[in-house]
Amino acid sequence: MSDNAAIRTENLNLFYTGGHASQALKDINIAFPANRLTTIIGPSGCGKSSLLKSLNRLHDIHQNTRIEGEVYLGGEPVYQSRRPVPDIRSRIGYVSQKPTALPMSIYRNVAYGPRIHRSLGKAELDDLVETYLRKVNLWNEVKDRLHSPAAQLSVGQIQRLSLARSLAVEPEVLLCDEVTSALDPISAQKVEETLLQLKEDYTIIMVTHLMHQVERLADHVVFVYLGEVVEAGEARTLLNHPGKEATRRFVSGHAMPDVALRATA
Amino acid sequence: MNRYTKQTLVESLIRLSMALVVGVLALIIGMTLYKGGLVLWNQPEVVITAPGPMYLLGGSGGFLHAILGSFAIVLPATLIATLLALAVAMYLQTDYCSERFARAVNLLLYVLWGTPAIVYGVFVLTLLIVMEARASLLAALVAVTLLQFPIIARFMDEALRSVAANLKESGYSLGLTRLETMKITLKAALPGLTAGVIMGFARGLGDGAAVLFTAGGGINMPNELDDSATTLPILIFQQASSPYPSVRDDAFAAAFVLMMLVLGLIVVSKLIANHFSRYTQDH
Ligand SMILES: Nc1ncnc2c1ncn2[C@@H]1O[C@H](COP(=O)(O)OP(=O)(O)O)[C@@H](O)[C@H]1O
Ligand SMILES: [Mg+2]
Repeated sequence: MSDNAAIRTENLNLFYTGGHASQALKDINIAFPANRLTTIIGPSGCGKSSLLKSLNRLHDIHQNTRIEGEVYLGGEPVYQSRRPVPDIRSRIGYVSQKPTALPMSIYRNVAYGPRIHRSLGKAELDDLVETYLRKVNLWNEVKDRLHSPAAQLSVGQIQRLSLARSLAVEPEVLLCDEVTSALDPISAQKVEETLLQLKEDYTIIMVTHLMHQVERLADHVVFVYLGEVVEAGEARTLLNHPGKEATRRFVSGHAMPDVALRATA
Repeated sequence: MNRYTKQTLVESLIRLSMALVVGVLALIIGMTLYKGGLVLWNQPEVVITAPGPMYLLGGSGGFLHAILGSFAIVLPATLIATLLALAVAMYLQTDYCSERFARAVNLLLYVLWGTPAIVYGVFVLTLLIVMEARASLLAALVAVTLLQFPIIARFMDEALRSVAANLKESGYSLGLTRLETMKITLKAALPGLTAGVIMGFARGLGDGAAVLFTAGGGINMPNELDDSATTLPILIFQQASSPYPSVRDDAFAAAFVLMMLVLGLIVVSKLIANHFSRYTQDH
């Protein structure tokens, strides 16, 4: 399976070294298959976001983290690499839990990344902005106000704009962290439909704690609990015939022992 | 005591304090505007006239030298303090330095902020004595810069800190460098950054203690960097302590001008903040 893995981790450990020092990820060895949508599931606080951010070196921007192990992107090391970190990050898109508009126009939000990484003419840039706004089903809603501030859009629209902005850099992998959790049900559904379309063409790794989202979207599932990967595999198999007791409990909606309680106990 | 009586009692006290504070403020501002306005109404030319040789002794002329002196000192001081504060505030963010270091520097900035302006004045005066130099426009400029720097730096640090972490994460994930991400952060923080500059500017414009011993305070127009200069607060001090009633009245005119300048600055800062806040997310 590691042959067609878009991205995989090797003995990945993550430590938060600040005031409340803790190990957030323990010996993660996991491969995310190319051109599939993988969901990372698990109770809140188990390390899903931490795992996602370690894939594109987003922990590097904070001083209070330490990472051991390696991540391979298309076979190339992400951490022990001679390339500048921004170059590596540009190959991995990331959409955060909180919908985020860059402080500029809708147009510039999409054009910002591509303009930095490639030299593009005005016409090419216009095309590119339209292409990616269409890809996330936002074009028709914003085509008449491309040059007004993106912050004036609704949160649901901003979340789709964030998707377009990430995709416009043409990453090999797209990371999504609970991208629907801040949205109302209708906006959430629109984002979900967009992801359903996108998964035809992209390798998507998506954190969620919503089982119905996993059932609708996932090809592949990784179950994380207390900073460890408990089980990973084909979505159908894992959901219908979980191999571990913890997975069975979580998938069937049983209460899990609270992570925070466990940590302090 | 009954819950509702308690509420009535506490709220009455709050209203009383409110009335007291607003009343005193209205009195100060009202008196300055009235007495200053009266002078300016009768002889508006004092604002645009240079002082005559006997100006501070009740002679002819106006206080243009102090208005120009204020700007000649405070504008460049604000510019320098802003550049230094911006660099420091940028460095204090988590992308560049540890939280522990940032906390220590911020504590220091608070102490500097709370330091009385006269201390900066005396500090620069001491330097002048050591260097055997005279009080001058340049010396006052340095003292005002020192006074403004901690204020602007604290404002800017707070403004940058309040930019949501996910905005930075979004920037970095697009493959932006630290500097490119900082540019976006700065833009998102522009309303707060502007507020900091304006607060520093207003403080520099209105402060008398930092420039009292360092500017020289003659009645010449500001000219050379190493020549003496006067600012509005120094002038107000000179006029208010004069034995001549007409000179004391002129102090109110100078205070009137100073108040209007500060008010104008605050209005400008609000306009700028409103303009840029269209780009910042409130949800
Ligand atoms: N910046 C941080 N500093 C210290 N601990 C953190 C930090 N971020 C997350 N943690 C801790 O790491 C664990 C995993 O967090 P997270 O990855 O956000 O979980 P999830 O996304 O699954 O809810 C939690 O116990 C959390 O308290
Ligand atoms: Mg999370």
